[in-house]
Amino acid sequence: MEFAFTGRPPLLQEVTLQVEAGDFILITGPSGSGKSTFLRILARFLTHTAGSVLFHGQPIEDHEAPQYRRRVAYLHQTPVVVDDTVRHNLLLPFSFKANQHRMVPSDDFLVKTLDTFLLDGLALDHPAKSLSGGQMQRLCLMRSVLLEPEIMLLDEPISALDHESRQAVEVVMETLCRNRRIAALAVSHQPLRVNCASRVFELKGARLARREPFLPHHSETREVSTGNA
Amino acid sequence: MSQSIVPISDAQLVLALLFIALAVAASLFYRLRLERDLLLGTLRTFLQLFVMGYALTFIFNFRNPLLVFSIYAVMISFAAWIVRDRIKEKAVSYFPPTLFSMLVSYSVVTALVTGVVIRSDPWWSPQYFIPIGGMVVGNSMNAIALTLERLFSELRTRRDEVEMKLSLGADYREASQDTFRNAMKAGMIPSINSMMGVGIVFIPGMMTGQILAGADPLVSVRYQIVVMLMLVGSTAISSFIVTVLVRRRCFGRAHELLLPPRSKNIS
Repeated sequence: MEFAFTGRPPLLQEVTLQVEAGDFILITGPSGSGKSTFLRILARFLTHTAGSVLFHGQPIEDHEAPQYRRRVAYLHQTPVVVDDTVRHNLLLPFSFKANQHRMVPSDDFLVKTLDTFLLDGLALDHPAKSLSGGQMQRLCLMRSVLLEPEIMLLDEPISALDHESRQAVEVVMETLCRNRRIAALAVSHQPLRVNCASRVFELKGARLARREPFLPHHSETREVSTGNA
Repeated sequence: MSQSIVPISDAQLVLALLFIALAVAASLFYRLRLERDLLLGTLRTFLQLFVMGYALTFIFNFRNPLLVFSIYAVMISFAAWIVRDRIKEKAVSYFPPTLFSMLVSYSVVTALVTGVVIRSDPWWSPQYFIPIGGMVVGNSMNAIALTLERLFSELRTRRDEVEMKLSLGADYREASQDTFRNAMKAGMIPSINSMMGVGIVFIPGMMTGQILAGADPLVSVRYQIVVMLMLVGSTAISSFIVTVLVRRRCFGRAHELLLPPRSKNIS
């Protein structure tokens, strides 16, 4: 897969990557190397200029965008919440047509799940905008996970956080990675201490290169693959 | 109770130039450097209004509806160009939907007013259709510009929120619902506010004109009420159509937001 902004040299060239169920892939690289652009292409906020991106063997363009984005969840670099309660933020996606067939989680379930995301003790009526950066990031992670996505695209998940919040987010990501069948693709210019990362890549000079040897990890179904057509 | 109109002679018109002389004197005294603009403005006022007067005298004699509608279409096209110059948005092509929404909403409202409310005979009679249409175009053009300005600026400033909702499975309508409402409100509020202040804070220009021309104030009031209501209607319809059409153009096939952020920060 390749990508270039109009009138500019290619930002991504001959990028080939296959993501499988349960994978935790970490992509590092200097600022401006195209890491976020790569994730935004997978989230369909940008369109690749050559090659192909497949989801379950079909070009991503063939999938209905709202349905696709529920299955391939993208998390912004800075957590985004609406000016309302924690509950409202968590249930917001269930008001969208693409998610209306899904059962709306009960308050009990939400409170239990808040524990998993190290947000225990947080009241559902608490205003979301008054949370700390780390709490907001975990709330956003939880909001996406409630929709049971197949892949999560995490754009610099810890870069805007202080040391303590970083550790909390790393713990949550590792828990997610170990306990759920969600694949994750995280980009970060800082080292992420997630022990279960199955593969680490570096994006440099528009190309994606494997940085560390592959660590054996459970994988069954092919989920997303990008490559040159 | 209709009195005959007092005509203004050429000499009286020249006398009115004394007001400009006063303004020029003030500009010279306080070194405001507005003399050139004042003189040019005065010249243009005379020239443009006399040309319009002769044009209207000519147009009012039209007996062909197609000619009347052509004149109206030209007026709307000019208004759409003015909106285009004011907005200056490059990422999204909004001129065709703007022109379309103006044509539809203004024509419908003007035709309803002349045909159903005033019941001029024929309903396209240029003496009614063109001035009333002109008022609709002039006032509602501003509403469309305000609507588009708000739509583009909010989609940019709330970009993260829009993308967050898209990321959670929203379609472009769901992701931009608040912006849609705010853009429509921005277009409609000025005409609603003017309904609040009319008759207390200001006497509308059209009514003043009619009264000066010798019309019964109570007749003028009725015309003015129709004008105020029609402006609210035309701003509502045009703001709605333009927001629906232009909002769709702000999003791509995958419902992705096409408006780039103000400062690009791509890594």
